[in-house]
Amino acid sequence: MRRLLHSEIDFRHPFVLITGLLTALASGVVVFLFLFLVIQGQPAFTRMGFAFFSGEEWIPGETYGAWPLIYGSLVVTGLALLWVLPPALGCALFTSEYLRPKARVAMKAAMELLAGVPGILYGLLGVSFLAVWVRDVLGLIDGNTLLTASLLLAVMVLPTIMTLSEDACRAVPSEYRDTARALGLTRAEVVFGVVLPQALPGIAGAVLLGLGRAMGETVAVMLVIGGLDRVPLPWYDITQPGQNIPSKLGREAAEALGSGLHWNALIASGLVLFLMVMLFSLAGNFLLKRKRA
Amino acid sequence: MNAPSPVIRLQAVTLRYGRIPVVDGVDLEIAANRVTTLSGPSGSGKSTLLRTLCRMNDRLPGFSVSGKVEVLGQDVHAPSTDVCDLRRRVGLLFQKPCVFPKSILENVVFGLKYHHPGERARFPELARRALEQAGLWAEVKDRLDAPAVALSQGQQQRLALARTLALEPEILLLDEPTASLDPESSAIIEELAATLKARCSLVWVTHDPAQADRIADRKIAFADGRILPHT
Repeated sequence: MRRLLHSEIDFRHPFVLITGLLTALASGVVVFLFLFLVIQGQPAFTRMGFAFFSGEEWIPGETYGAWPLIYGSLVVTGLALLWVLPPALGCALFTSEYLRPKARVAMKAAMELLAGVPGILYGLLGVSFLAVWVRDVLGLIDGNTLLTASLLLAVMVLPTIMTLSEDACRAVPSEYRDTARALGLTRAEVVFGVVLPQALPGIAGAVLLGLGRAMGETVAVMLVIGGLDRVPLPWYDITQPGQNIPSKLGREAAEALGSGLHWNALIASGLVLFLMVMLFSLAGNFLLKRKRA
Repeated sequence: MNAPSPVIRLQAVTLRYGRIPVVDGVDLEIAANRVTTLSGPSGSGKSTLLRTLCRMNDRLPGFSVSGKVEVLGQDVHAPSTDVCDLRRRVGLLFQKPCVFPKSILENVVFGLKYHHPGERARFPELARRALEQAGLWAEVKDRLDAPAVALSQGQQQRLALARTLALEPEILLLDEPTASLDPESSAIIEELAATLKARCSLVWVTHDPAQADRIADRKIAFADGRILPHT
């Protein structure tokens, strides 16, 4: 305990003890979750081996191949980020650098309100309009596709990424802007040459948070992804139905609870999702540190 | 001997924040290649006037100008004025040193990258010249790639000066440039003023009458938004 605290802190002080216990509790939840996923998922890994990651068949009671789910998660999240980054960053820069204070506050309030809207409401919007629009525009039989899910996710994470990116831009000291202006830079040069590079770590943090939400979103995606445990043929055809890990868990967890290997396979999928989010966060942090260095 | 031609000419200039005038009906001419100091108590309008010369007050809410502000023969508020070009020709050094979180060299060439993007091959030479003019070359020549934020406050202010000088301004505006520095660093910057005036005209805002005595070719004193007589 002593080795974890600053040398001048008395760990026997009641306030230090209470806050320390609460910190341990919070950290313990993460450790518990990880252990739960490892222990409960381990039978599926043992039974299936590497085929759990590479297999394309998921037949309860027979075989559990999670590749279509992993593929669906990666594709839907990757595409969602691709769709959302240009408008989110454009909106953040416009709001931070060009809007008058009153308009900026109104814009931020609207975005923060949107960020708090429950996923199911977005899902209903997706089923009612987006899936129909995708079906009609692309001439498909069914509008529930990987593309539809990625577009819906992009709409869902837009407010989060936009508002946090805007905060990152506003946090750039105004002296930097004034100095650049005094050197004769145009507004656009100040934004792209000074504000954006300085705000980049904060923007990356915003993107990672958005990515976390996008990867974990269940209900809304479940309604529009199509629910088909299959990698499309050809693999890049995103206008076909698919499946991702949260959607799979949402559909089958209730019926699989206590059913042995089916349950273990779902938990193992959850562990894969957990590790993917962690990996992306670590990669993002690594890239940011390199950028700062 | 003829007096040098004015590089700055103000005619009945009034500067306001909302309805409150901070500079009231000022007429003034500032000659080329001189060190001119503007001094006076806080709130007397000297810094506001200085920043108006390169239009750095434009974005302040409620700020307005009446009268004519002519810099290098050009009405700075004329619709045809290119504000970015004006600011390149009229450099401004702030009270608090501001360096970008980049290397020393990148800081010096920061403005050059935007104004002379085709001359990248000459940047090291231009950076050296600017650092020499700012009296910093000898101290940093062996660590140009080191982070600028690692320099002392006084060195950072001279780096900011070098960054401005790299653009070869015709007028250099200095807004209390030594106010946040130790006496030794202040003295170095004061000494630079004497050498820099051969290349450009300096307008220096200061609170310190003794500093004005040391550096000025001409002293202008402000009070309540007006120039005091006989200055």
